[in-house]
Amino acid sequence: MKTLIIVKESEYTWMRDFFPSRHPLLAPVCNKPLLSYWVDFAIHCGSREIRLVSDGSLSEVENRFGDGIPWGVELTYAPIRETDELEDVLKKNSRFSANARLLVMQGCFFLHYDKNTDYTRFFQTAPSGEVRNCDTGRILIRGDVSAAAPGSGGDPTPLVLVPLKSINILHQLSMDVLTTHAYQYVLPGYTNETGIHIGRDTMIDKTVRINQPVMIGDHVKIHKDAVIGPDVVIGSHVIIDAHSRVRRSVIMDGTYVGGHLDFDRKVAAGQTLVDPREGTVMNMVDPQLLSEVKEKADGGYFKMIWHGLLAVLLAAMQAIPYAVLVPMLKWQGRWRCTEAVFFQNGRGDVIRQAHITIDRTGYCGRLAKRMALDRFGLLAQVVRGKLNLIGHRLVRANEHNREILKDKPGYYPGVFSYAEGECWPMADTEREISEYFHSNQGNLVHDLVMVTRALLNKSCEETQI
Amino acid sequence: MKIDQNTINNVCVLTPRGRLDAATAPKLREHLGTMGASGRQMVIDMGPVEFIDSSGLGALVAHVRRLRRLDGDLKLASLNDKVRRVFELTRAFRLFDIFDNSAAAVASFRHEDAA
Repeated sequence: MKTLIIVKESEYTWMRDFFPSRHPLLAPVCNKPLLSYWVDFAIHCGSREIRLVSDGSLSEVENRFGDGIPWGVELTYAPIRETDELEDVLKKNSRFSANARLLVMQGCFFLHYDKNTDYTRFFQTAPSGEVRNCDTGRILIRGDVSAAAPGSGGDPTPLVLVPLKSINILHQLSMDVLTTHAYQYVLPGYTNETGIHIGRDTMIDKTVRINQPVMIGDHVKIHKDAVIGPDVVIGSHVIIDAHSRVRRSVIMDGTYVGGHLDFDRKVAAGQTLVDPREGTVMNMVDPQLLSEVKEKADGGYFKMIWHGLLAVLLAAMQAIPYAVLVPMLKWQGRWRCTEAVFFQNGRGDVIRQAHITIDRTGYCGRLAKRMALDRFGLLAQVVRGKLNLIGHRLVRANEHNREILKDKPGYYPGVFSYAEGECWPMADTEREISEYFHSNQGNLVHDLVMVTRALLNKSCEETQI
Repeated sequence: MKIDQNTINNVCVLTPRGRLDAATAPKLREHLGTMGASGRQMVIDMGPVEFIDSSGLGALVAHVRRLRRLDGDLKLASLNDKVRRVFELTRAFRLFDIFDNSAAAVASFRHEDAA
């Protein structure tokens, strides 16, 4: 028995709106990623090989789940295209699915099952076809029944698909699993008392009052006089400050909840606060109230300093040509400057910056363009740490681009784009491929090489902005 | 880099071996450029490709665009984990049909012709 999990990005779009920095399959239900429930269920059905296919990036999922060894299964990943139907997916994975009984899980749903039920016999003997479905997904069986398979075990219960269509349903699921169905699943955390699950290295002040049921993740700190519960799920690396009260809520990984707050029926993730019933999202500006718990520096500061130094060096080289050529170009009317707003990162922060257009018809214009003098003003933003010297293409801040950036995790623009250091990117898609490739190299020397190539690469000069 | 070439059911199957990077991508480009009409339906078996960088991706992307303009297509097969991750990180997989074996990729052209 093998399992094929098919995930289409379009089915999970609504989750991206709430938690843009988290892959939807990692959305937690009671501190356990959605995908973990699927993998657990596949194992209960007797699968030892599981393939996850998606038309979106699975890197984040792969980093978390790896090759499946912790589950005792072989977990592999494969890409598909947005337009692929089930039959296309099966053809593209024909080596994986050949000569095997195949359990296919497709869509965006939560799976109610019971770890104490034997699903193996049913899935080994059920005829090919759909086993369960809901508005947003289905489970089906493919392949012939083996002659050696045992007799049918009857349709197993519980096995119910819950369509995941809104944040309210996701929140309600966490509450339901915690309060009623916890015994059906393997849930994270230690428990020696019904209704309380606590993770590793968690510090709870002795004055904290806990009203079960409650689930608390790893490395959590709860300060004095806080009241937690009932019906609360707290993720890992969370801090609940003193005198706060949290009820019927989900606090996701890496969230700081300030002191003297009262949370009831909310979902908090970093600085985002969601009211699941209304579906409203608030981004809290005051970090004293709600914010993301900062993790240790990951080399980002070194990169910022390195890019800053290179920007100063480049500005020094450009200073004299700038002082000579720009007044001439302005006098000739070939230097046009407009105020523009650009996205500074994928979170939607913006910077205001003059956008320079140089008319290349004259010798001075061509020379200024070749020396990248139109980028001179942007170098100051690098020194301030607001831009990289080289990175993704800078895009204007508007609603259209905001939507596009939702699909670009890790977007961090630069004065020069990586695509300018290449010769081959012609269309936007190709520029993106090039930018993603280089931004994942994570090498400071590599960035220097790409800046040099961008400066030397005259043919790509007009691709920026 | 060595490139093996084979034709199965009028589909050209190329199997590059080794690294597909800035040093070897021009050779692949040149090879693809000389193929003419015989290579309008093409499968590249990436199984023996140990490494791919942006130049290699550039060669593949440029060629798939060229073939699609000529009503042809380029499909990829048997990506190993290292190469698949590059396609994943760069999202280049959105441009290609990727199969887990070259026989299925070749067969998919037959199905398209029949349709």
